[in-house]
Amino acid sequence: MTNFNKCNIKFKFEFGSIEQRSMNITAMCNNKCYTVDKSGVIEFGIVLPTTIILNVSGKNYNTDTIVDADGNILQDIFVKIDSITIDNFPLNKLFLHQRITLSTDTDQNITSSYFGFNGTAAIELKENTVFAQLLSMNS
Amino acid sequence: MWKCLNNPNNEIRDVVIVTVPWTDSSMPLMAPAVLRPVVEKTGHSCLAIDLNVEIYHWTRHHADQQDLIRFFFDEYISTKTGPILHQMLLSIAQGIVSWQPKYVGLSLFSYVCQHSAKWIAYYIKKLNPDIKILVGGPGCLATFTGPSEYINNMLNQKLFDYHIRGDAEHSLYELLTGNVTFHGINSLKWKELDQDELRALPMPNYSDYDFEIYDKKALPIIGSRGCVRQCKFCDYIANWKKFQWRTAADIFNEMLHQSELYNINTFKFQDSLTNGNQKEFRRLIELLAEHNINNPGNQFTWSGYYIFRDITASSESDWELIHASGATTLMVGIENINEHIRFDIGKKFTNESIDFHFEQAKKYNILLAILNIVGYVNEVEADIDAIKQWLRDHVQYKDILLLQWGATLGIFPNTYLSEHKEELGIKMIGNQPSLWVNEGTGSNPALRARWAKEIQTLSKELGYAVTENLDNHFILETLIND
Repeated sequence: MTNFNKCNIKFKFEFGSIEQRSMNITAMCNNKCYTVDKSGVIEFGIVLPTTIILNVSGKNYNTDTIVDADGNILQDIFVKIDSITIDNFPLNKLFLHQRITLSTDTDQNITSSYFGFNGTAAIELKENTVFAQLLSMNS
Repeated sequence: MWKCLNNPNNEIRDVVIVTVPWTDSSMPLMAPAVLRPVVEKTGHSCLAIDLNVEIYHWTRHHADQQDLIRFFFDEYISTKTGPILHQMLLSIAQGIVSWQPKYVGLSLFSYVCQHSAKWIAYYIKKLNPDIKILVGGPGCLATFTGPSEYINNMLNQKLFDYHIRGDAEHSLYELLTGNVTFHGINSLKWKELDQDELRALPMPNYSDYDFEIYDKKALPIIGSRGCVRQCKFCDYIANWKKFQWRTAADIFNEMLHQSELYNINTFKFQDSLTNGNQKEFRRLIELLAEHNINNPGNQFTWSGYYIFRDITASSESDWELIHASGATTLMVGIENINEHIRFDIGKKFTNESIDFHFEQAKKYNILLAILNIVGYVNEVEADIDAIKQWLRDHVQYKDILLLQWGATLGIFPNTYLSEHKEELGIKMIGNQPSLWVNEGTGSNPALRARWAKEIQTLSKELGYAVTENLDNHFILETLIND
């Protein structure tokens, strides 16, 4: 019997670096930790419903954001989610930009796919089929 | 769950072809029946079914009908319809997979089929990733000639393995015999059937269709491809570039054969022109008239697209024959009541001829569904006033006319208008075909929308029947058996 609650989730990240320093990101799901491969991708199998925790770390706020005399950011290190797919179905831009909230180590909640702070973001997948999960995330 | 997919004896079919929902139709969709003989010619066994009609009836009788339909149009699900739709998709996929096919063909009649086709493919692949999914039909492309972001995405996502563009008789045969690089397979370039090939096609095989389920007891039939006119707005002729026709005898034999097999005597021509070849058309209506005279208890009726021409010596007898042949509704693209605009479009018949044809249709009680375009590139306010006056002057025909005023002129890719925009003074102001202006005449989308609304309102006030539906074949279908 095929389980329509089993699927693959794939995150593609873009990293901004300064002098080869960049942030780290890992994904935790069901007590397993997944790390980024060379192409900036984390991919693993999940069983719905579940929660995925993205852990963003490695940024030194004193050295990893370079600003000019007026406070304008000249260089920054960051992690950005380029795309998330579930069984190759892309989640739309609305989800990426408005549904992911990073709880930072500076006690802020920032809703964005651009992570410029260390922290964690929980992605809750509450549905029990891929069909329902995707359509609820994309609407 | 779906009767058409029931497989109690665990039979095997190499290829399963289904119409995917949603097409708002309760008469048979013919693509699976047309393609079944092509599949069988390759030595593969085939199940060819009209799944759409079962889903159509199931949805229409469901308590959550409106929300279910929203899924087909917008991929919307609610907490209530999500599990229902999951079960629908799962049972469709399980039904198809139970036949153990190597290939599944999904026929998309309109763009509203796209979401369900995607999910049906996903569920099938989840159950058996080895099954190859083929898709085709006008619903795959946003315009007749493409391209299609949807198809590109589905191919990249590997949910679809092959997209077949245009008529699939050639390319499906080639694909199933191993030539997956043939014209039209995962390519927008395709090969039209030539005259001989069109005439040599086997008859559609509806053996797997359950005719009891259809509200409209009518059989679709194709007598031609392409058009004899070169109307400047038309993208249909960009797809089928040359007019090809079947002989009257060939068409008549198919009608006889299908009528005997399925006990259905009403036919709907699915092509764009029944009378493109006047000689063959005259012969066909002679054959049908003769049949109807000789078989008073088993007469044929038909409806289809028809083109007006200028009056000739035989025009009156032609109408008599059309009546005797069983024509009930003719769909006629007049395009514009203003003669000068109609001539510019490429339809060179006079207003006097229109009056003659209306008079004849009235005499024989044949319904004419009249297709119009409001806001042609050179149309101005005075032309709109002329249309309004024409409507006031022709109310004596209102009982045999169904008027469609359309959604104003759209400029589609690969049409004459699209390729001559500059010299016509047309400027596109957006991505949609209706978003254009003519700075010389002041025509713009808002003005044209006002014109269409005014004409439509006046038509209704004068007692004409007016349809606001824009799908011409749908309009024709609604008139069958009514």
